[in-house]
Amino acid sequence: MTKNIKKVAVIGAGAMGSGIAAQAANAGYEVVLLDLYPDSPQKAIDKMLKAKPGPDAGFMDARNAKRITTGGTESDMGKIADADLIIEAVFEDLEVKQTTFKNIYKYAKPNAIIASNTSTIQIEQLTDGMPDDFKARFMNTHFFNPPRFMSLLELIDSPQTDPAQFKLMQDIADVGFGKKVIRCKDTPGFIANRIGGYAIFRAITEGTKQNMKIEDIDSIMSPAFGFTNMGLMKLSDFVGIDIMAHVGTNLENGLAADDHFHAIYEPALVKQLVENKQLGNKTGGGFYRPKLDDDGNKVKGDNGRPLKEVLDLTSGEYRDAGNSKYFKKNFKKDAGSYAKFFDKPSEASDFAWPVLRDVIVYVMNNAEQIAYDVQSIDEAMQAGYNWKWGPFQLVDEFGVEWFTARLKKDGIAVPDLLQKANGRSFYREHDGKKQVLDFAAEYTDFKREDGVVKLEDIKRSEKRIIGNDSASLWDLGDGVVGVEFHTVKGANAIDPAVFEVLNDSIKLINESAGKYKAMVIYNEGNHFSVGANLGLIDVFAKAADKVPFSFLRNKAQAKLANFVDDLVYTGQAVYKALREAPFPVIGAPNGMALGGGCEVLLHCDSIQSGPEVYTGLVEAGVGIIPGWGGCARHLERSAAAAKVNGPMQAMANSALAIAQPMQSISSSGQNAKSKLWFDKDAGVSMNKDRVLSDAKARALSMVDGYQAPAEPVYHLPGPSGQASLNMQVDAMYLYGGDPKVAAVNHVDVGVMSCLGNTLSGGDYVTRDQVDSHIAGDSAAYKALIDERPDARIEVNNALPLTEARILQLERDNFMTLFNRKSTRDRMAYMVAKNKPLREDYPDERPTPAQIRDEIERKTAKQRSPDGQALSGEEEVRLKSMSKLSQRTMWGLKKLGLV
Amino acid sequence: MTNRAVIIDYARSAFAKASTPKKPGRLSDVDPLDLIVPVINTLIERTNIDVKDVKKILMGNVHQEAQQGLNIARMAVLHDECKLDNNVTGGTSIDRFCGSSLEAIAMADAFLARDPDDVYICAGVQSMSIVPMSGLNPLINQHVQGGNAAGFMNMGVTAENLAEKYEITRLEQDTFAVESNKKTTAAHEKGHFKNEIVPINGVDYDDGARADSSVETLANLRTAFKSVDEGGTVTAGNASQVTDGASAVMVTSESFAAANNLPVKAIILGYGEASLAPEIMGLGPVDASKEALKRAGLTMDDIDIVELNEAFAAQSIAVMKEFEKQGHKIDPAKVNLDGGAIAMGHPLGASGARIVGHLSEVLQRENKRYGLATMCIGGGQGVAMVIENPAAAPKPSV
Repeated sequence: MTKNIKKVAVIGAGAMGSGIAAQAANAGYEVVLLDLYPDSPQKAIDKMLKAKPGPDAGFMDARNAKRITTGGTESDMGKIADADLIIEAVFEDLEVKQTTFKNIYKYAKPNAIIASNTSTIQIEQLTDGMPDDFKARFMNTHFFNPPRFMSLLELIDSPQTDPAQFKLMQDIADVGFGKKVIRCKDTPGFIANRIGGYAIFRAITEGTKQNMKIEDIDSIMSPAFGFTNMGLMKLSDFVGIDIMAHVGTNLENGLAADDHFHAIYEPALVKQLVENKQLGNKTGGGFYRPKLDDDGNKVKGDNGRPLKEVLDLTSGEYRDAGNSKYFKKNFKKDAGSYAKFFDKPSEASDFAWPVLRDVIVYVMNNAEQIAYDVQSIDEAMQAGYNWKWGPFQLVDEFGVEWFTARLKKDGIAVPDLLQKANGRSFYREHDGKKQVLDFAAEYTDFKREDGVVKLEDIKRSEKRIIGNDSASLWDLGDGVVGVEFHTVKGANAIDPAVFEVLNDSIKLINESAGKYKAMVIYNEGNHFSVGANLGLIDVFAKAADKVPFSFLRNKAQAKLANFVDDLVYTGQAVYKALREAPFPVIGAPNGMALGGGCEVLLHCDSIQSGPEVYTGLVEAGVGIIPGWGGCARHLERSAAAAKVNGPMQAMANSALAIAQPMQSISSSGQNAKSKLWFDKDAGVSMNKDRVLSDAKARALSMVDGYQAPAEPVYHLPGPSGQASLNMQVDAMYLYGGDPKVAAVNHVDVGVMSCLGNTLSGGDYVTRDQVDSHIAGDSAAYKALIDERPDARIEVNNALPLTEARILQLERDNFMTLFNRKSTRDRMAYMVAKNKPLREDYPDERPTPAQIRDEIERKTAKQRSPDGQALSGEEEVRLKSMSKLSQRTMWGLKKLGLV
Repeated sequence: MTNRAVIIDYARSAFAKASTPKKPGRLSDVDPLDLIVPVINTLIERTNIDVKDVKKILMGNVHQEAQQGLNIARMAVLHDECKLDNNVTGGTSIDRFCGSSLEAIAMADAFLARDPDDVYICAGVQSMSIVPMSGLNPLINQHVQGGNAAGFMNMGVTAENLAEKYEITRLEQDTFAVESNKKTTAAHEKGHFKNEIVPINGVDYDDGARADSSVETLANLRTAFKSVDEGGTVTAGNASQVTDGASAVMVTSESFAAANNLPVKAIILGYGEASLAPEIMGLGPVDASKEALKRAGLTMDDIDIVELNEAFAAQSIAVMKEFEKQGHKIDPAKVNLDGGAIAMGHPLGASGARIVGHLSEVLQRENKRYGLATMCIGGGQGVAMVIENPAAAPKPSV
């Protein structure tokens, strides 16, 4: 596997061309981007750089833009002379493209791969009249929009394409561009748009026929059937109605006269929208649009959110959008099974059935015409349209036997593939392997790209080494073990049971006599970890609040505080043991890694990141501070990265990052390196499917001569630093504006004060703290303290502090904040609504000094983790905490609360 | 007769050795403001001055950044424990390196000529533990002295330059240092600093001074700036000590003192300053003293007591040799009666007020009339001040 070409040229700087160029730059290639208008490429680059995080932000890190040189196709074609890959992304017109290819052929070096990004024109037409050596290195690379975020790349070759060049392009697209590469046959719409286009137009036609509300279509064609949360229609607004119309026209013109698409294609409404320039979100409206008043301002509802209007499919007019009644709850739990749902007539099933039935039948009838195997079709729909299940997987979910019988009952011809399946599911597990029923009706092994290792494959074939309800340890082979969190699906929240598995894993590796020598922490799925299991804490907190009689309640509260103190300490101790273990630990995140999830990564020896990783310390949002070593680790990195000497710089950098989570969350894996969340040597896999295997390779590369990192010594400003931070915070509180938006409110002032206390090194060191908190001659400091009437010394940058000091401050301040009602409210709100609570100012706005004076200072137990896996009493406590949290989570799951 | 500026009172903290990687300084955890504010408060309490009359704190401080930043003089007024009135007393921070707080007294002198009804606190503070020598973020323009910063900003090198120029041996320097230590420890024993030192955190002793100092032990120290082979002679033992400390002098006019029944410790007779090649900055006191004497209408021979800031032994000796060369030999018995910076330390911003303040104490104690306080300044400068003990002046005949 290689991305070992150097330079990529992209011709055409429209949305696709510039997006592809940005992704090439993200991949680390040198890029040249040319356009008929020589200024367009730079304008496109600037636009992507200015875009907010989201679909238009083509660059993973702003620095990548510097890899692109720009120019015009009439003056600068010479710049493509040393390009190894040239991608054409000009206007979708055969003649324009053919002229471009002639021009490319004139300037390109003889072995450069030449590719088109066309979505509508077949290769035979494109290369008509071109020499054979051009055809041998020509293929179609069909990216999806936006190229950075859509993982599908359809790769189409012709009989003339040189297989070696095709293989090289596969590797470049996979490892370099990070795409899920699906080889397609050269038919109109290839795989994804053929099926996706059919599905959307089928739904619109049926919806119009049945006079369905668009809100209901979206609620039915939803995750219940593996579609995105948006539903089909809202997704069309997101993608662009013009793109949809384009897909429709292309299929209409390109497909054979007897293709079933023509039977269900009623484009009038979509064409009307395009004519009216109602192209979806990009023009302010498509199927949905914001409700505007007479002056053109957005109208807001009672909850403060903008109201929407929606198109009526029959009348073609907009009306107020409402809420759909469908599938608010767990679909399967309500319906029992898909068969039961479809067999019982209802508005929802009467609509969903003919649409889904026809989509599946259409795919089955055309599968061999468009794809090389069954797996490609499902994977293309997952990667290109974000469907959870491809059509074959959907049939498996419905039940192949039931589906076949129902087709017969409906009087619909059973497709050949389905007949051959003969009631067998399209996917099965066999001998610990995933298999798929191929076109010849034989089960064959599910294919993975060379070098790709998926945890699901390992889990299928291996018994886990150790584990519990929250986490597991797997053998990844070659002496590398992998820890996986699976507390709550998709969230992978961290709780004591996760710590238990981490702790046991460290011991297991240490005692394995060399059998295991490295660890990878990797969670498959959309997200690495959203942080500490707040739901668990919230349950305990609410239970303690409900205890009758004040003396019993006080006891319960004390017990809760004790539990939280132990929980914070245990997390620190386990993370520290992870960091200081005598073997390399690699964090391998994809998606979100927030709060406690970020903290575990901060303690890894190195990171092998996926392309899209959103990480940061977001604890302040729920009224607390990072308590599992996040402050200590971030301070260490801030100090190392400080551009200015002095005690304040490190503290200020860390305070800024932790106090403003929304601004400091990374916008990609590469960006996480720029923002200090990942070490500067961290690796970023462009293809998220390769993160695990790359992480394993990274772990193995670190085994020889591995030395655990040394503990840093901290020089921090103490009380003066706190005063300085408070000065900034107070200015924002007093003059910063609306507390519901971004400004600092009265609750934040308290949180920031505790954050400052932690990051500054605290106020004083007492005699009994000297041994563990000061990195110096204990006797000298004790002698100094003994001279003092108040028996303590004040912290400033001249005092060398240990990591144990920072960890103690994390715990002290965590306990102080956890004790506040405002924190409990924020936690409960986050658990209930999955977004942070932003409090309004109280009627009488307290001064910052009043807020700080009212903070009831709590101290955690004095203790210092020693960097070893927990043993003895501490381990017994960890196990009992783990048991308690597993039992509680089990109960919550039973009650359907998580 | 003109209405001259007078010194009413003087106090300081003990000067405590700054932190080293091995040993914490005894005042190293005290924020600079927390060092100076108790000293200022002591002056206010002792003199019983009405704070409505205190016009300004003029505060010497070098490397005005971090905890020493934000105009530390005004911050001292605003400090919760400071007895001064936020609505009356201003604050100006002064950085003239080692000469900073002596300059503060000179500025008060000049201000009083404009309005004699004011009182000034001329102070100095330096936490060399918290903000190290050259500051937390040392930067220098490349066009200063041809970019040859080491040649003039490294004070040890300038001392070596003088040792070479005036042929001052290691033994001469070490002997001078031992004397300084003996004088300071003896002064402490005799309680000569009792009146001036305000204990902070219980620290009431200049802990750099060593009674057991000897030329033998000092001879064992390694040279710090130039190898012995290359003729190096300056060591940590014969240079001033890196310390944390604060000092303050209260200054007003003769007329204000008389009107308010404030006893006068000393009258300021003249102030002088000098500029010279930075590589030999240690000679700054020579011309500065001559100018101060000239303004006071005196000659070196009239001076009874000299406070010569001991930046380095080599530098102090060179100053005396140069005076001798110019025909004004200074009797070593008149110089630094209670020792100097080699023994007690040199918290840069605080030293100027200390030598002037302490000079006023010594003149009174010894019942001598004229004193000269002078110091060299990095970058090639010198400052000097001549003061008179009014109690030792001949009583006007009735």
